[in-house]
Amino acid sequence: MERKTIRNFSIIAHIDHGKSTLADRLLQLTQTVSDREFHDLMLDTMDIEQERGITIKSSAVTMRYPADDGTEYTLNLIDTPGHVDFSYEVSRALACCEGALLVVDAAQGVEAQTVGNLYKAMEQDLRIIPVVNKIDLPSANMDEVLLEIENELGLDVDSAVLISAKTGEGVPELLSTLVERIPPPKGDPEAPLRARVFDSFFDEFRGVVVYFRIEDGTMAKGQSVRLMATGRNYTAEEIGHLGISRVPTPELYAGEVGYLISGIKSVEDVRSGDTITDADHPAQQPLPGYEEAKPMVFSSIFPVSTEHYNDLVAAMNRLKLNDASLTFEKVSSAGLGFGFRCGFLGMLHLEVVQERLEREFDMSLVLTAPTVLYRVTMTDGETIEVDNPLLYPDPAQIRKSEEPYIKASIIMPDKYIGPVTELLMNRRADNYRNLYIGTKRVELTAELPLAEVVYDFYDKLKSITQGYGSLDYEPAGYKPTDLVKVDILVNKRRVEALSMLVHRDNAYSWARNACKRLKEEIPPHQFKVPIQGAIGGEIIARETIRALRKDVTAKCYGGDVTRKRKLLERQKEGKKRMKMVGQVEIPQRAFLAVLKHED
Amino acid sequence: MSEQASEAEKTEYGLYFHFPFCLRKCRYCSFFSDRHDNQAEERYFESLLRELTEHVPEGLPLRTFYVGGGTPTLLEPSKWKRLREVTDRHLDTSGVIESTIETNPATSNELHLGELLEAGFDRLSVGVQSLRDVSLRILGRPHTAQEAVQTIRTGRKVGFQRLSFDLIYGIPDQTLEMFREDLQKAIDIAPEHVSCYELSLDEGTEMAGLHKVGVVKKPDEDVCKEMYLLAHEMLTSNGYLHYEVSNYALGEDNTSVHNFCYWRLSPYHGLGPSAHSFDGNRDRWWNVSDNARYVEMLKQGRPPTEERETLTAMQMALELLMLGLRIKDGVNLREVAAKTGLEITPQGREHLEQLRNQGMLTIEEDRIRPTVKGMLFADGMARDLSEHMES
Ligand SMILES: Nc1nc2c(ncn2[C@@H]2O[C@H](COP(=O)(O)OP(=O)(O)O)[C@@H](O)[C@H]2O)c(=O)[nH]1
Ligand code: SF4
Repeated sequence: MERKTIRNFSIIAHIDHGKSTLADRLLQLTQTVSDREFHDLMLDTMDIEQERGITIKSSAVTMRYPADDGTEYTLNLIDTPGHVDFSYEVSRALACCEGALLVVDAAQGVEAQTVGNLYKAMEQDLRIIPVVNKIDLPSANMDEVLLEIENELGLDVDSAVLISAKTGEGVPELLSTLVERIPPPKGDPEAPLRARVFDSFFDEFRGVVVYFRIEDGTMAKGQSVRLMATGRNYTAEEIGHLGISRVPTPELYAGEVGYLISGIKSVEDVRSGDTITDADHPAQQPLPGYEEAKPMVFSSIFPVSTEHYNDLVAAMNRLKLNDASLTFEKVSSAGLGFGFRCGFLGMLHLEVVQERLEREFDMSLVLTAPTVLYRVTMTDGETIEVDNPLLYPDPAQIRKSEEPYIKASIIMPDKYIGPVTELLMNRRADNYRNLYIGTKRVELTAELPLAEVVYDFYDKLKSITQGYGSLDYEPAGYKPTDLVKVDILVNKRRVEALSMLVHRDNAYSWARNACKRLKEEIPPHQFKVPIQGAIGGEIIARETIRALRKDVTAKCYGGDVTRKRKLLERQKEGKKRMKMVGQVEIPQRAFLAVLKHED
Repeated sequence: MSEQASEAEKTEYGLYFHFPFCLRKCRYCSFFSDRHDNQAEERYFESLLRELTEHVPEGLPLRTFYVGGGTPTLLEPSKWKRLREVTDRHLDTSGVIESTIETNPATSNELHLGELLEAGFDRLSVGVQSLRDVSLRILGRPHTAQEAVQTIRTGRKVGFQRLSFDLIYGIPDQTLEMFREDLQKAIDIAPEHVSCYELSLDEGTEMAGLHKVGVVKKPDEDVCKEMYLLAHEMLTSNGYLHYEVSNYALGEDNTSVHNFCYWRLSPYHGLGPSAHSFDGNRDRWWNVSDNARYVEMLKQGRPPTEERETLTAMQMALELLMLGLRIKDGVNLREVAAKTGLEITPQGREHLEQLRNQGMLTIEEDRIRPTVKGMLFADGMARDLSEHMES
């Protein structure tokens, strides 16, 4: 295939501005999918992602576009995830593109979830085409939106295209602008093979399917290929293009986007950003930008009922096939039985894993309070890493504790500087700086303890900046800290899942919040249940759940026994989601509620 | 009730008629009833006769006859009389030992009540609810305390030997003292039977809504519990038997035979909109809660059933426990096993021991009986015990 007829691009859009609708329209216009097939089509495959309106997995599709000049172009649309937890995956996907469509809702104007990804795209030198969507709406205000794009995002709007993804108006023009403005891929087809992986997933029948874009060289069916991160070799059993289904081809060339099936057992072995090369004539250097999956947050997962451990083992192993970023190992705890200590990219990743386990595998789980990886130097000079509060050594034997920091970069309109600075200060930020980029936009950089960021920092930032703040971060080493372990006692018993390592300054508020949340979530028992927060033997917070006064429906005649029985059946069902700690039943959701902290 | 008696109940049915009209809706009410309307009432009554003759097996042997609602005394006594006659012809009423009709204060006079007695009703249940006017207004009852007392007196006067009335506690603004006065007045009137239950805020009722937005506030849970204990103390020391969570009778003879059908899972047949039926074995079904549909379905010759269900062994066990633990006589685990094939596990026995130690129940061989305190936890105990039942 001629490289100059290839266009690799991505769509950047705020939620609801029409990314999916536009993608559908492009697929239809290029006849990649017939109208009949349409209702089956979904770029986002997992339920959870759809419900939350986020795209977690990068995905791609190839379209053929016959332009007016008679040339048939190959358009590769590469989808990107939209959450800071997956910021690495976004940048790897964008690295496979030469251009991006920035879709803005004509009635809403520029909103910000876009800004982070737009900034990443600009960093990688992608050609950006502003697209104003929903011009069919009576409330559409094209001129103002164009002005916004120009002033707030600093983009040239001369090449902007006005469309209605819904009616299809302007979409043909968008296609011709796309092939005209977005440059064809560069790269040397004669050089040794280097293909950049941007996604992979597990297929029931075929094993792992890897999506990539070839930067240099050629890939052929039957060729022996190597994944440069692991150094492992595989045979390219099948390669091909990404239609709506896979289209096998004998060869793929520099600039093309395609898939590879080669007997890889688990997605763990192929991470986004990895380079595929020719095993016999390997490239000297892998493509830049690859990073190891680095778990940032650790938590243990246990089945609510210990009998279900084997089910959990099976579920975790299945999940792992599809989620390369998830790391885990077996653990056991006196109170919670057998489970797994897991590492996650961030809290969203943790929540997604939890939801998948619960929904796809019907598990009922207890997750321990998430924590970051601390470094503790003992009095004997030994240094250990602690990712589990239960393994935190006796404070008397600790010489110093250190916690991981990140360097955060926040880009936002300058009017939010005040509240965002305040947020940063509340989160123990260091080395705080700000820098104007453009006239109204500013970039704040600061070093922050990772522990202060993982929980709800991103959500807070989004809400303070009304969605306009973007966050990106990278590790920034370890700094000394003053750690304490806070235990939560329910009816005088320590709840292992709720023990937490926190900075001393945060201990009281953490404990108070945890006790308060538990009081709200634990139903009353036949006896009074004290809830306490403690550092060692010292109680720093307490609440009490009053004893249940009665547990009976007052009136039971008139013959409607069914309704009352059903009530009890529902309660019994609910109990399956409760964890016994001593004599007290703690609903599973209480464990999560504790993590929702209000400043 | 003796255990021999429960043998006989297996074959004899309780018959219930639901009268689905009231003068107006009380704020806390979650029973099915519409505002009274003569035409609708007429259509209803015809349909009711139709349901009785066309959809109840001929010759069904009865043990009790019960007319509830709604406010059944809004219907002329002659019609109830007719209903009884049709029942006598169609079913086997030779074994009927109790015939109850419910009435609300100010909906019946001496003449009415006399006719009802004559028609064969021997038990009158009066919806008194409170003997304090302010409480009645808060509940949205369309009568005064004076009228309530008057209705009971009239019932007595015309010759009802078995009078029952309902008292509600836990009414917004009610204090323990006020409830004590209600109880004292009730004791002075000396009905044969008192139902004394805590106000429940059922979803969808006006009271629940008012409570949610904070317009009214129920007394604290602690106070409600004291009210329960106060009722127990005052009524039992005046000769009443506390035989079910919310029910008291002057001696075994005055307990409600009909209500025991429900609590002991004996068979009962319910007629009229929203009425529930149970075949005494595994099947439950209930009628539509809609007067127009009720009439329509019967007109088309169809039974007015909304839904039916067949209980699993576990559901049956849960019901036996849930209902059995409401009554003083409790439940016999051997009977549960016989009916469901589910036995209590050794762990369950340990759990029972714990409950006994906590003063919730007594254990006598296979029979477990809730204590006064235990009755208040009947649902919770049933739920937990059912977890320990296995085949
Ligand atoms: N009126 C109108 N609605 C649109 C247009 N494009 C998308 N929508 C609607 O906007 C909503 C969000 O679109 P969707 O493609 O799901 O947005 P995404 O979240 O960016 O993928 C949906 O209800 C679409 O039907 C358009 O051009 N005109
Ligand atoms: S009188 Fe009884 S049935 Fe009628 S509305 Fe009042 S509580 Fe409900």
